[in-house]
Amino acid sequence: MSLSSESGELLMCGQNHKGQSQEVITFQPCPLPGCSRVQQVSCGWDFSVINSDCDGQVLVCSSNAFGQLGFSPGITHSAEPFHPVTSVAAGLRHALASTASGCVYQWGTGLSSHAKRMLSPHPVPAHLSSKEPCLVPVAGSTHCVCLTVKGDVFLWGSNKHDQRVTDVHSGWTHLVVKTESGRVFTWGRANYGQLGQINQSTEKEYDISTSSGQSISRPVEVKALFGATQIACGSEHNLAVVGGRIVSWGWNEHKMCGDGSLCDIPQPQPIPCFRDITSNEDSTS
Amino acid sequence: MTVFHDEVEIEDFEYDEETETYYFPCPCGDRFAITKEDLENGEEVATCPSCSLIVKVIYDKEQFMCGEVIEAPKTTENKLELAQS
Repeated sequence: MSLSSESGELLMCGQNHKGQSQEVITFQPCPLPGCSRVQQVSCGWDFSVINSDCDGQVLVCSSNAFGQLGFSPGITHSAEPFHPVTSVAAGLRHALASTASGCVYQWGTGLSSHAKRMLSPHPVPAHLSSKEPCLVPVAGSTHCVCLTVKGDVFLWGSNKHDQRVTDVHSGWTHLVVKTESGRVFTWGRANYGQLGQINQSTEKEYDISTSSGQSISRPVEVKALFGATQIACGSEHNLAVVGGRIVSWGWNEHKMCGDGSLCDIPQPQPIPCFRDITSNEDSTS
Repeated sequence: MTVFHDEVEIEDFEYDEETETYYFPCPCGDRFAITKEDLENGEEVATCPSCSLIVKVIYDKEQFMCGEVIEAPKTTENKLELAQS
């Protein structure tokens, strides 16, 4: 796990058998070579991507078994010149970086063998199977591109119906986005209740069930999440702050939805022990 | 009827030579596991020791039953590298 502090310091904790961090159970400062301030950090399954404020440099560490560090064996640094990087994101075995010029680069083979099988006989696009940063062809100023942890590509753009996206959050196989007007939409895998949608069985956008479970391929609004001020996605569950209260929904086998039960929660519900506590801007979570 | 959480190609598993076991990340944070021996016996279910989820392993059973090992990425050493911008 990684955190960046307000002062730009990097803190990490967790396993270290692949060099992710010091092997400790409490957050420890992690000094970086050269520049000292961290703008943003994102964690994949067993690697981290760090966006520093030192000339827009991107630092990567840990496992490179699937090219998720962005360089081939034998090369100590990437030869691909980047414009200053504005944001980074790590998936299970791939990573993305957006630049000031509006481009998006991707690297890491992720689950390209899955893509090969699904797209066959068509070839897998270069940016889904590259071990070095590769330009994603669809990114632009009016489009957002998002890759889930498993490598599904979703893209959307602004339109006249006031659906300009301001926030994107991704679980392993589902997405939660918020628009400028505060509307929240979800799509992707649905079988653990991770989309938080009502009446899924009657939903016209419902895809045919696969052996992997049911899914919804088009964004559907979740009215109960309108105006959410914070959203966070775990692998198959979610948390959000709505009206000053924290709600949860999705997979709950390990009690991660916080309601004390082991039952999946199909729609956003306030977490019982926080029911009488309202958040304010100065409080810490 | 068994409900699989997902279907995963054997090439997407990471192989540990010491334990002769193939691993794939589980959403709970642990890993699905299936041994080489299981695969050679035609097994196709990888289980997670921490939760109820299971995945179906997609592989060529004939190749495994002959004793041939499918190349899967091995765990690598630690690295902290600088990618220039």
